[in-house]
Amino acid sequence: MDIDVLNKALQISGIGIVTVFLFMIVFFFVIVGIDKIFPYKEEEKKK
Amino acid sequence: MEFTFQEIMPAIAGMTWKHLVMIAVGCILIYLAIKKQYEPTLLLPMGFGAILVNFPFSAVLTQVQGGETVVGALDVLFNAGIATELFPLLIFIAIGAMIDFSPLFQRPSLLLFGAAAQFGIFITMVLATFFGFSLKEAASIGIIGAADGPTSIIVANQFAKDLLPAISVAAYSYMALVPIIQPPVIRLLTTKSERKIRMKTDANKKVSRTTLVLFPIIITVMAGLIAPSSLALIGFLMFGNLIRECGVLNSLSQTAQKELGNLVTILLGITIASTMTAERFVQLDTLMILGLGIFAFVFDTAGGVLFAKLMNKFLKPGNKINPMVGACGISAFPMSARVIHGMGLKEDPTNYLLMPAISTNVGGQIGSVIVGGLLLMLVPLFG
Repeated sequence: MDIDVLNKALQISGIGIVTVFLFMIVFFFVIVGIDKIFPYKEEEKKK
Repeated sequence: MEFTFQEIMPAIAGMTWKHLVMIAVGCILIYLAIKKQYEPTLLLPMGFGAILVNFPFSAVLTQVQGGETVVGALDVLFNAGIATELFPLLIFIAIGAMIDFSPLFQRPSLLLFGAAAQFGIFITMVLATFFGFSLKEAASIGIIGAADGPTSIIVANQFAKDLLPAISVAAYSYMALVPIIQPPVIRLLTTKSERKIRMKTDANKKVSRTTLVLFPIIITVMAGLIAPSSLALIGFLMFGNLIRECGVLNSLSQTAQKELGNLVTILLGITIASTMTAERFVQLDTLMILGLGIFAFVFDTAGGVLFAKLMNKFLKPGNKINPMVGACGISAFPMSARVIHGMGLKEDPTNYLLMPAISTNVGGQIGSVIVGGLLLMLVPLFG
């Protein structure tokens, strides 16, 4: 086992898990935002 | 003129126990595909391919005969479709065209489980370095936990070509084993009352077409700005989805979902098998990768479940999340959602968890692709 490699793996894991959560939080706001700006209207159903 | 046995029957003469093991592995994959119906679209071509490539001097692989190199058909396909990453990316177009993202709009917070259930990938990556794998190899092994075949292939192809056969077999086999792997992990981490939690979702909520068209475009732009290395993965997925949602390319959408998806799946399965040769596959490393893959899968499931339990500490009664739904944050779509829905019905026959489970599962598909892209970006930075 190489301690240096292990150290790097831990750092990548930390950054990775935080970044993927950040991505999802951004996507969450994208979903909420575009759903608010372009809500479903009954006319769409008729079309 | 006299000939030796080796010249007349080179395949039989050159056969070793390792070849026989691999032929048996091929037969087992075919059995699982047909009899158990575990991911048959991939396990069957892979199983048959494993048999094809494990005869000494098999013509499907490149051989040197009489000083001349005769290129094998499966090597041609591998160089054209896997080495260039073309097949996995084309599969992403097909998957994108099949996904309906509208369930995510019913309760967008479920998207977070698409991040929480990637936990196993990272913990497995750390564990793999304990066993002496390099950083790149460890990242490729960890991504098995995403339960996302194409992403696993792309990461392994860039970081650990030698491990590609074991990683792709593990990724696709474990995807098929979701109904066996996930339930015991979930039961271990949840109480009976937690498994009975009813979730509030707006099943009748409708989403406008403009929203569904804008969603893949905005996600692609965001991904491009934050992690451009993930663009090949997420871009092709969202391109497929845009074809589906735009409403003016119905014929292309159908083709992407059916003909393109089927054709590439056939080629992908049998081409991956070209790497399943005895020399490369029958090794201690393969067993370790298969074991670490299960570990990744189990901890991804645990990550999702435990994150749901954590969220429940802060949510008001009536808004609580059934922790089982957290396990759907993996990418195995829609199998994971179906399994959780089935488990929910077993606990309480009137508790329908399908919609929140599908929403979470869709989030898991996005999450696994993002993690794949992040690993492609981060690992080279750390060398």
